[in-house]
Amino acid sequence: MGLAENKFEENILTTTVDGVISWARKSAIWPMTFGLACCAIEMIVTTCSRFDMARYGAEVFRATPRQADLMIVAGTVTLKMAPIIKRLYDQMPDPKWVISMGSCSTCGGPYPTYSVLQGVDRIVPVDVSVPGCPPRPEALLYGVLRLQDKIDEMHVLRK
Amino acid sequence: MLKTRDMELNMGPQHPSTHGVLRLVLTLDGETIVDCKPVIGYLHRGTEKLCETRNYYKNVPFTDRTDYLAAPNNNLGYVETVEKIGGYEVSERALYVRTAICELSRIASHLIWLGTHALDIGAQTMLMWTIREREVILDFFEAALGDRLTTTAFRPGGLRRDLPDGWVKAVLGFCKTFPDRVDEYEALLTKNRIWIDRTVGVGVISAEDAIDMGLSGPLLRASGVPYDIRKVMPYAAYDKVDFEIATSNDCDSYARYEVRLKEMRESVKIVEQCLERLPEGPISGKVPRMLKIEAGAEAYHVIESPRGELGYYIIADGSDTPYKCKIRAPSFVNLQAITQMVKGLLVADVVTVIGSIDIVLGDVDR
Amino acid sequence: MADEKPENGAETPPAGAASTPSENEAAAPPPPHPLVSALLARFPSAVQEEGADAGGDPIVRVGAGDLLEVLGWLRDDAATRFDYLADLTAIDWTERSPRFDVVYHLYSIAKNHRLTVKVGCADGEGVPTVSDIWGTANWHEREAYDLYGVEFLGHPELERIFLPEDWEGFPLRKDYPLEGPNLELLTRQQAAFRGGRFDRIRGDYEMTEKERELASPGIVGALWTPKPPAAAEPETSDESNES
Repeated sequence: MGLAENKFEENILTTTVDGVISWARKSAIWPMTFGLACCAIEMIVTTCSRFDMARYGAEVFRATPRQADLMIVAGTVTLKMAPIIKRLYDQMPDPKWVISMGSCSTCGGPYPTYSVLQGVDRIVPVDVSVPGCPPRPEALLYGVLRLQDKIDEMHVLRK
Repeated sequence: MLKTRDMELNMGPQHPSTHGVLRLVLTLDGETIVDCKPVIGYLHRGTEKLCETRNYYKNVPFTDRTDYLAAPNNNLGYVETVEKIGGYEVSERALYVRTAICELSRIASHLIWLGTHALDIGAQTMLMWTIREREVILDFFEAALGDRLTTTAFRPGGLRRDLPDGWVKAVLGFCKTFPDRVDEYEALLTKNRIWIDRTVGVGVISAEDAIDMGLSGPLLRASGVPYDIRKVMPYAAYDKVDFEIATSNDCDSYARYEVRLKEMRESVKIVEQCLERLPEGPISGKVPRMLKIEAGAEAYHVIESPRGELGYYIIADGSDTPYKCKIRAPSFVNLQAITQMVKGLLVADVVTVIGSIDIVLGDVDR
Repeated sequence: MADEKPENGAETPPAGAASTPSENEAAAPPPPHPLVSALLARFPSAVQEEGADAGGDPIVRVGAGDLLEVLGWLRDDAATRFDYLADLTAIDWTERSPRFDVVYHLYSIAKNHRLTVKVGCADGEGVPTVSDIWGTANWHEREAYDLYGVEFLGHPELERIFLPEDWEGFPLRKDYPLEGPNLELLTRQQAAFRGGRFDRIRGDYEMTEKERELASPGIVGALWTPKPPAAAEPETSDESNES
């Protein structure tokens, strides 16, 4: 960078390729509609006009996992639903991320019962956990922002 | 010779329009539905067993999370059943406040119903408009009860805390503007050619079938049966306010849409009446901190939730935890009728019917 | 033992022998609810009255052999007209015999009265299905079967409704622990999802004692034990049910 400093005019930016790729990825995350329970309602509300997830780029919710790169697991994961979550996760193409929204999907929540999986991180790798029951829409937005920070740290070209 | 065969299509638990984790196994002849078998249980969390291990106060948050779109109504059903078996008295002020909050919750539930139902059919604007109103109501809940969605609004005896200053004035202000908003929604949908084509004649169930299948709420009223628990078996302060029951004789999805819109207007009237006549006094009756209800006391108490008849069957056993707490969930019973309602319709109509039944999977599966 | 506390909605029985207070209070029992009288008149041997619930609505008990006849009559008779089955559930009384009670909450839309009917059912026996009388009973009975194991004879499709089909055990029975049969179930599910790109579970999946403890879903299950039903006096034990 020192070699190229002050050699160019003002309308040229220099950065790394990784930086550009990360910026493109994080600014246009396509979540998958995966609301399970009460947290899904707060997720819907986050995309509406007051809390507006669109300003962070994550407004295009795709119903099919094949076109999505973020799975927001919003709600309680039961043992009956768990294989389906795993299958959907496997169907998503790389790079993919998972936000575990709410207490139920992070750790089982208020349900230490026979039919609830105590945390979706037992079956899929979770990148960001958003606590709350349900988390406020601002909390989910903060989770998305933290995920964007995490994406920034990803290296594509440089291993 | 060409042979045709019925196709089995799985409208799986992950679907944008099933309003949660509902799985429908459809048997199709081309595009027409021959049979529809719902598979539920993807959200069964064992609430009823959990309620047997926690005391009466601690069970109230679990009832929020069964029907999470209208949490105060669920809380009210549970709390009133506990008051019934324990013989606890509710203060006068609490009755009116409870009624007002439950009606606000009914409006909020119908708003999100309308938004998502219209969104599934294709009218995306409705979601944005109705959520805008719903946010105002959720702000009121947050100010008075502490939480937007899962409110844990009531406790046996009354409420936990009195209303904040200025709350009544703000809600009355909202009530003045809300009927105009409902007029806006009607202007968008009621005479809309596409809406009429998509909902009239779709999901028909006759009154006899509805009673036989145990349907309740707007489904039953849209089939012509004027059964509204708020009028027939009044609870809280419903016998002290004036309102009408919305019914229709058309039995289809359009009728249910009209019934719910009318219910929203009536709810506004109830809220206004309750808050204008709000008596002074304590916000809660005298209830001991440790509720021990005598063995053998049992009750099945019903209230009118936005989805229908919500019943709680609680049996006490002398200790401070219930022996049994069964939740008679309206969505569970209403969903059973979907098999009858979609026979002969097209696949796209299934989405309309699910939306017009207004199910909440937390209620179905508990 | 049922409780009699008529509150709102109760039709007060006609003033019979107990009209003068504080004289013969414990002498004569209050006269039966009009619904119960009608039922007893029609089925004198099959039906026993069990008192009333906290709201004043009557409760009756029927034998399993007479169940269909009684319920069918209740639905069709002009005076009772119980056309609406509000709820159907089961109760596990553990040590009582018969072990289970199947409870039917009936309501009449035309006449606005409620009745609760109870049937005793032993473990392994069944109760006839009422899904021919009220169509709504279909799913209610599946739920009672799924959670309690009560069989409904003649049901068109008696299979589990909430839990996966291969689930063993009936969760709402009092001897079934809250967090499931054993922790192995939770860990087996984890092992089943091994492989693929995400492999958080190393090796052959044998949990150490410490891992098992850390993976435990909660301490509530360890503290919960089945309670004996209908304790006459409140238990003074320090068995804590709160987590």
